[in-house]
Amino acid sequence: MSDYVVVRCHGLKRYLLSKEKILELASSQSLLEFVDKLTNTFYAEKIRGIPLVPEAFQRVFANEFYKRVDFLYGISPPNLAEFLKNYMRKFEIELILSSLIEKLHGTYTIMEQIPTLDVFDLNLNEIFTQKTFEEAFEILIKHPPFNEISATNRELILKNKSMLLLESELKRIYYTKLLESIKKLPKASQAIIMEVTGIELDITNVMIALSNYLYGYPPDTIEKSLIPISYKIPIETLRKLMTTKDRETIRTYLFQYRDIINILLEKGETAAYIYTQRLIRKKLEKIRIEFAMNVAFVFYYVKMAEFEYRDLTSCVFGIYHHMPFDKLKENLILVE
Amino acid sequence: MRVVPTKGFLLEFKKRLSLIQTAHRLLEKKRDELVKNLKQRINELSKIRAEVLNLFKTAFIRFLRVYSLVGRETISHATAITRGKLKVRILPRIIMGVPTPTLKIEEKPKSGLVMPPLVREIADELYKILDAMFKLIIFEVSVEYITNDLKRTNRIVNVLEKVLIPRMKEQLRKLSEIVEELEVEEFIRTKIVRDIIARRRGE
Repeated sequence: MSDYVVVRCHGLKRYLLSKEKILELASSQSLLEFVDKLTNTFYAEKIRGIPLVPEAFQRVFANEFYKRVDFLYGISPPNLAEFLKNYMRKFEIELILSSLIEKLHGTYTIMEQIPTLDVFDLNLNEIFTQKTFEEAFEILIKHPPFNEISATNRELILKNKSMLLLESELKRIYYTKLLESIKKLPKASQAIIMEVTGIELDITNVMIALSNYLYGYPPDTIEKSLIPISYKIPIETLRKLMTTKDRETIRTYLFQYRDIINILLEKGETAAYIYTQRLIRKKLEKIRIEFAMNVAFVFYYVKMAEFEYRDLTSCVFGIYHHMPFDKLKENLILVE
Repeated sequence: MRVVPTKGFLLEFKKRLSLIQTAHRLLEKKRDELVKNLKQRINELSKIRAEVLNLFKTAFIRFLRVYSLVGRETISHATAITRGKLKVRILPRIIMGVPTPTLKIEEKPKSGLVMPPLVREIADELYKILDAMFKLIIFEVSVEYITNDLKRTNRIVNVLEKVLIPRMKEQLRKLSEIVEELEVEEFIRTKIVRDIIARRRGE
């Protein structure tokens, strides 16, 4: 059954934009030119008639990405479907957090912007249509797996309206479920998918743990934000990093990710983020060749589609705000 | 000023002139110092301006990079959850006898860890710009206040130098002449009276 999904992914892959095309799009001088260049691609129909603002494009690209994964979810065997659902939860969490922040500050998203897909656990409309933060939160914690937020934390989140704690809890749930579902995938694919997910998890935690070093945030706040799961870096090491001010100590503790850490310390988070994504992309290229007829190839396709969505979004925002081409190019994951 | 041609008044007038000349010298020194200080500040100001401009350029490019990566929504959500207000106290400061206002940041809005990793990088950058902007504002205001004071001091020095002191010197000269004439007149009168009295006594 999973072979069928893998074969479909090979077929779907040809709809992904090439690196050259992304580069060509990034060199556009205006969104009008960007649209012109997109007309001979998969997105031609989707962008017809949309307003020439980056947010409208971002919604189209995001929805197309969600639909691509949703389609795979529909044809996948249970273990792969569960993995895809758990992977897509990070986007679902982004939307949930975004909606809850809006509730806290009294702004509301227009209904038609909310994607409703099978691959998402929640019908996001339920959250988005609530008037208050409390109501939306009550809806959220009724649905699995978000009902796994502990009673104590629920109380604290509601009492302090703490987005910090909520985000940390949602990320914990996301990574726990994702790592569990990876273990249910065929053995041959597990290691490489685990490695990519593990890098993402560790780097997210490292950026949180180094908040004191980078921005002087208080360690107790950092402790609350830390995701209590790790891949290569023990949680204890991350705790030690919360208070350290010495570069060499950081480098020593995080030797597993030396290159990323050097960029993080020298050039900042944005550069480190791009570098990490590019590193992941390179690891995925290995999948394309070595795991061409394996479940890992589905993951490769999903990640490539995600990178395409992120790169296209970067392009529209960059072009709209007249970002120099060389700087915009630095932001692209698929192009180096 | 009412001029009375007496020796007492002449002495008083001389004292007053000397006082004004001392004040003139002091004000001249103050003016020179103010010019020197102003020159230094203008040099420093152009350096700070260049620094701030550079910070803005770097931050703008960085902002665009993050903006293009995370999108408008994420950034506006991050700004919406920023807590606290920017509280600034204006304090007086004396530079070369010139009272100039200075700013002290008492409280900054707290972005905390609630900001997504990439957005907080821009927030940090913008906080640096805020600090640099305050430094620039303080400098610009001090230059403006010192310039105003310099204008005022220069005007006084010029009035003293070109009008008041020459006029007083002239008045002093005339007054000295009158007093001297009066003294001679008084001396001659005394001598004549003495001669008359001596003649009457038959001496």
